[in-house]
Amino acid sequence: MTCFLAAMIAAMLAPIACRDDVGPFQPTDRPVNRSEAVRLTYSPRNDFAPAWSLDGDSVYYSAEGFETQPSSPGVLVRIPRDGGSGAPLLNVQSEGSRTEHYLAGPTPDPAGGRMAFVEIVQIWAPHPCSLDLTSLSCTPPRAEEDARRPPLRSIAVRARASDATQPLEDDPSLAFAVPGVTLDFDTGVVSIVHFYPFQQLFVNDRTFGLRASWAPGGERLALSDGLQLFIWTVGDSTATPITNTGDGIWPAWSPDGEWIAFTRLERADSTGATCEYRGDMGQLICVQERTEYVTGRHVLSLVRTDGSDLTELGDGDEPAWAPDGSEIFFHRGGQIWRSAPDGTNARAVPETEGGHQPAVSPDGLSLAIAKLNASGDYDIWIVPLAP
Amino acid sequence: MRHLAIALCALALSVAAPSAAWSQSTGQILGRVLEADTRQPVATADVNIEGTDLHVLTSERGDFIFVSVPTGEHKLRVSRIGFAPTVVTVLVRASRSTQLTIELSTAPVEVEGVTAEVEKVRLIEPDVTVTHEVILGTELRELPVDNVEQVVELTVGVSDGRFRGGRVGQEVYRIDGLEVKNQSEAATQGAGLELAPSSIEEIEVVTGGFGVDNGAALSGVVSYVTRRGSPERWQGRASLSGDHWAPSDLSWGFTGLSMSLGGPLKFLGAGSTIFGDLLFQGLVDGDARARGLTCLEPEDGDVDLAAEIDALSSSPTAGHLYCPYTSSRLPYQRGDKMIAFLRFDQPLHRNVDMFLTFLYNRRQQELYTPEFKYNPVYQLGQRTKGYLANLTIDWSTHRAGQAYRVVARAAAMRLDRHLGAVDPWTFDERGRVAGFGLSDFRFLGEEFVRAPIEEQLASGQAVPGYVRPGGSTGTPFGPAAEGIFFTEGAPDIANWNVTDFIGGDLIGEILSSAGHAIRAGAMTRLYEIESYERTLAYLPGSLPSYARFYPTTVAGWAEAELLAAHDVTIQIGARFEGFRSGISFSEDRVDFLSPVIDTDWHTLFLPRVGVAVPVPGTYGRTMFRFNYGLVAQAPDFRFFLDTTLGDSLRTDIRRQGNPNLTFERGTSWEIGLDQLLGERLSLGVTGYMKELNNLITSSLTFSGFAENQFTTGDFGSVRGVELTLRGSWPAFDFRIGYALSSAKGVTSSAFEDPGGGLTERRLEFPLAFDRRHSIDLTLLAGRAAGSTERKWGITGTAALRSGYPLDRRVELVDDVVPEIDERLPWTHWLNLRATWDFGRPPGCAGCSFRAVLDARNIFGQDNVIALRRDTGSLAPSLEDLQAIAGEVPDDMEPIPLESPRYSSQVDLNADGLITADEMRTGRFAAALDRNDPSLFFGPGSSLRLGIEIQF
Repeated sequence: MTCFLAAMIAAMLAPIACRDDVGPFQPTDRPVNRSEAVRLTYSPRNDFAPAWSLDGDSVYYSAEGFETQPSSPGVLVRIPRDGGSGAPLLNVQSEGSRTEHYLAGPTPDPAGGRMAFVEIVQIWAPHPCSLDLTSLSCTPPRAEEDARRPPLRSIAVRARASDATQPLEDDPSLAFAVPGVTLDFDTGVVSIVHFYPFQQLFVNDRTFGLRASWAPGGERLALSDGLQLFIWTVGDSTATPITNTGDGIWPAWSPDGEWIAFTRLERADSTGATCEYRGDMGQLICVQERTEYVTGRHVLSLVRTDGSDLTELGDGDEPAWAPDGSEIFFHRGGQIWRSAPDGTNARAVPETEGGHQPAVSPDGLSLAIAKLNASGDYDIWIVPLAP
Repeated sequence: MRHLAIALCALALSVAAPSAAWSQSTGQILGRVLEADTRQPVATADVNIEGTDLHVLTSERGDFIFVSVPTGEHKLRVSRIGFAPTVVTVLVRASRSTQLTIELSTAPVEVEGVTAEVEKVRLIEPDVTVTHEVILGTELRELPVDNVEQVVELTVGVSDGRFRGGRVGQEVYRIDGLEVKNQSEAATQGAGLELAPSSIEEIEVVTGGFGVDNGAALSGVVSYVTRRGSPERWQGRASLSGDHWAPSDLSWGFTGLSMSLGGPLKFLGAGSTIFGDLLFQGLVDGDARARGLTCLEPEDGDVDLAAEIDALSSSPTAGHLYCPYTSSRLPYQRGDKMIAFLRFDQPLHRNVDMFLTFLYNRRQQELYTPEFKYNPVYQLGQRTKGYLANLTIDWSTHRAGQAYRVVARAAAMRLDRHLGAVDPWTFDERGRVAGFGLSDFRFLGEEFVRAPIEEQLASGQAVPGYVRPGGSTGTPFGPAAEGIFFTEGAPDIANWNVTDFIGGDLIGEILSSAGHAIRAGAMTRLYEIESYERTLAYLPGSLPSYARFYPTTVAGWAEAELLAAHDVTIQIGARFEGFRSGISFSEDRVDFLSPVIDTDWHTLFLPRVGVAVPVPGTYGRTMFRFNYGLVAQAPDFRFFLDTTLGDSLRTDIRRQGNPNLTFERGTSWEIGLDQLLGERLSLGVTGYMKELNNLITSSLTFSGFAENQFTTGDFGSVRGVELTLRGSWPAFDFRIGYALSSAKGVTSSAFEDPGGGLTERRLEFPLAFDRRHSIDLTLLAGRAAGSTERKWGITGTAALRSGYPLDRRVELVDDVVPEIDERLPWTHWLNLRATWDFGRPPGCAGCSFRAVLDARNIFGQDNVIALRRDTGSLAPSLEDLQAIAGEVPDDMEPIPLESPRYSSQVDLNADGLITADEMRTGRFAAALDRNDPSLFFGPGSSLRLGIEIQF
């Protein structure tokens, strides 16, 4: 009896070390949505230009404002491809960053280790005269709001190491003035304005077409100044123009390095106007000589890197290559399409209505797009791709 | 036996000489030897304590006296030529005198030993002029208690560590006679040092009228007598208990391991002994509360709040935000305790004994703070380490009818307390067994904050490891909990305090076998105090408050004690107390050019008198006692400094210190009557009154008004009546006490003065610890009551108490502070402990073992021990909660799903955006959750099982 009781007590005391500490609270902050098409972002402002990480786990994009820099019009963000919490891609836009940067068009170096993107360094003030008390008269007449200058003034294409901590200005970059506005310093009051289609695209459609694209080796970038494509060897001080790429934007370098797909913004027509700005006393303050180009078709084009063999594949823009180079994805008629590089077998990609700026995942099974939602802003979606 | 008559008068009839706390670990024997036939005194009889060299000869009156007799059982051998030698067994208690009358027969026959043991419960104590309670170690080890504080709590007039309405810290602790007080932080940290119940021979708790040998206290004295090793044989004991096996609602995650071992060191000579004791306790929830981690329930607040809680909890979209994280135990209260004790006794000479004790404490525990409950990394915690070494040399000599004694002590103590953010290593990597940590807690930046202050100031950096508290994710409320809960960063305080002292006591006494005595003593303590506190520890450039200073305390006392006709005990004495803070300070802190003042000595002279008289005609069955005295204590040294005080709810307030504070002092009257009811029951009635002056927390007056600033003119009084009923049967003892008290104080600036000027308004209000009614019960039955023939034993402790005054925050009415007459609710609890002795375990002939079942708070009572000061309930007001919810601006930018701040919990319509309305709902729920009332409740229920082995 004694032994039995002792054994029973020992058995009861045996689990003495087994009770765990009171467990901490386990947050379940957000559901994982793995339905057919996954909406990654819900921001009431625009999210643009998705690009995939090399491992396909994340999607990069540029956001109009984010937690860390809510007032910045362009924050580069990384977000898990299955959805979840985003985070600033660059430390210069992390919490506590003192300087606000306007960044767009993130694209990772296929060799790994670097990220290319475009910084909009300067924006033109819309009013050509920096005086408030002015009156406007244009010939032919036009409203003041139609006499504004195009916004893009100067930009820089940068290549930044993923673990970089230095200021952006220390990264290899290529800076240039965006064509379209010329000041006549001889008279001091005359500005020559060419409102090109790529500027109108930026103003009217709020899409940014100057994204750079890496060559497969990760040493060169194809880029556009809005009027032409260039090839820039990262670190050089200048870029080499690609012939036959007039009004080309949104370059996409093919995986085999032979071709560059791009969008050519057709100039359908042009109109001219001369606008004079006068002060209260009627004195002339400044003059704007305007030429506005009406944007025609968006022509999906292919060209070799030396400018040869220009091929037009019909209407479409914002091209992206499949990882194996077997297909091109592009925007056409309010949704995403895919076709062979020669333009054959073109077909719409399901569930991409309202989609722009496609980016194909490294495994070729998913498409990241910026999609216009019902409230009128763009969000990032992931759409599965049928083979 | 036919030729021998040995008459023994037990203590109930013949105990003399009141307690002398300074001589704690020994007792005295007063005796008289008479011739059996003629009842004439027998002079020059030899009286010897067997096993020792102590011999005395009886005086011409037949008297003899032994002093410095170790506590426990002893055999007295009395012999004289022409008489038969006689042996009697005596149980000597610490600080007591046991009086015997021994009759010798002239017939030369062999004598058997006779036990003249005092009864195990002293129902009447004719020698005692004070109100006290004595708990023997044997009783202590049977009670359902974890620590000695819970034992002291069983004394009538003591509740929650407060003695008769005084605050914590108005009592003094003595360990083997050595006065040990946490003089730096007693008001907030209590005794500082702790003994394990298994290392204690006896505890005496004096709640009123303490003698002149006791200083540094206004309200009580707790004296511990430690165990010494048996000089006869090695004895040991080990017990293991825990509640891990019990259902969650009955488990605190407690594990206790206690081991004791002691015995003779014969190679060092007769009488040399050693005793060691180790206690380990592992705690998953070191401060278990009745409702565990709980939440506000509708009935906890007013009607309006109840409606809102109901609406939230029943909402189909937001119901999940109500009370999302509960548990039967509180999180982040992990900790452990270790107490090690060693005592070495060595006779140095025939008349000189020496003992050396070492005590080591380590208590460390996380401190649950609601705003950090969702922080998985950083929590507040506290670690207290204590060290005490005491060397006592006791010289005594005995002559016919007289004894002389000198005791000298040297002691050193260190208390080291660290409060701060616990380094995650402590629970991620530190070895733990059943909740017990094998090493010390680590705190963030501990090395940095302990570095010389000059280095810290020069560096100007934040305390390493500290991160600003914040975070917007990780709670059930997502971004809505920002600023309400801190899921990132660490508690922002780093605080430590080290109190060192070295000190010495010298006491002499002359005693006569007639019971008279003259005593005198002196003591000093030389302190070094270091106090460090840095709030906003994460912030570079934030400055710590640091002080190092050297206070000194001294005391001297003398007392004459007269025992008239072995009946009337009279004590007359006086005590001198002095201290100085050792701090220089600026007269005006606002003006750094103001003159610097050196603090001076503060001294007091404190006369005391006590009388114990048997009521004539009652044959010693009715005793009357009276005492009067001035009492005083130096203020806690922390009151000299500006400090942040943590109250029971772990919120902090700042208080300005005053380096030139003087004594807290008081006057104490007490009158009592003890009546023996039959042979098994006694009833005691005591009335007392204390006048208290210079209630502490005074501060320098400087320009401008400061909250929490008190003046030295604050005073108060406590009065009360106590009834005690004791009973003792062979297998059953009980003690029940009732205390009725009223404690009031008068202060000049206890409330904020919205006018901005410091007024001289005097306000009377109940002192914070005015417990009107309290009933305490202790019972022991079966083996626990000394009935060794029984296998079972049961002990129980219970209490029923009215609530403390509620310290309400109130609004002035017509520029007058309204009378506050609200109290916390009544509380009650019952603890039981049952044992079953299995006898000898297999394979150990000299051992016995038993099983122990220990149940706490058997009725599962949710005792409320605090309420909110602003509402007087468990809940805040609905307006306050709504104000927090309303902090969300209408134009708040919606939080999208991709935001790190997003939480689907608050996206109530699941549209990927958290809007302002959703944020308000979430914020209300978060505010509700932040005000969880867990800490307002007392301990919950627990069911422990243990096993104990003795040899």
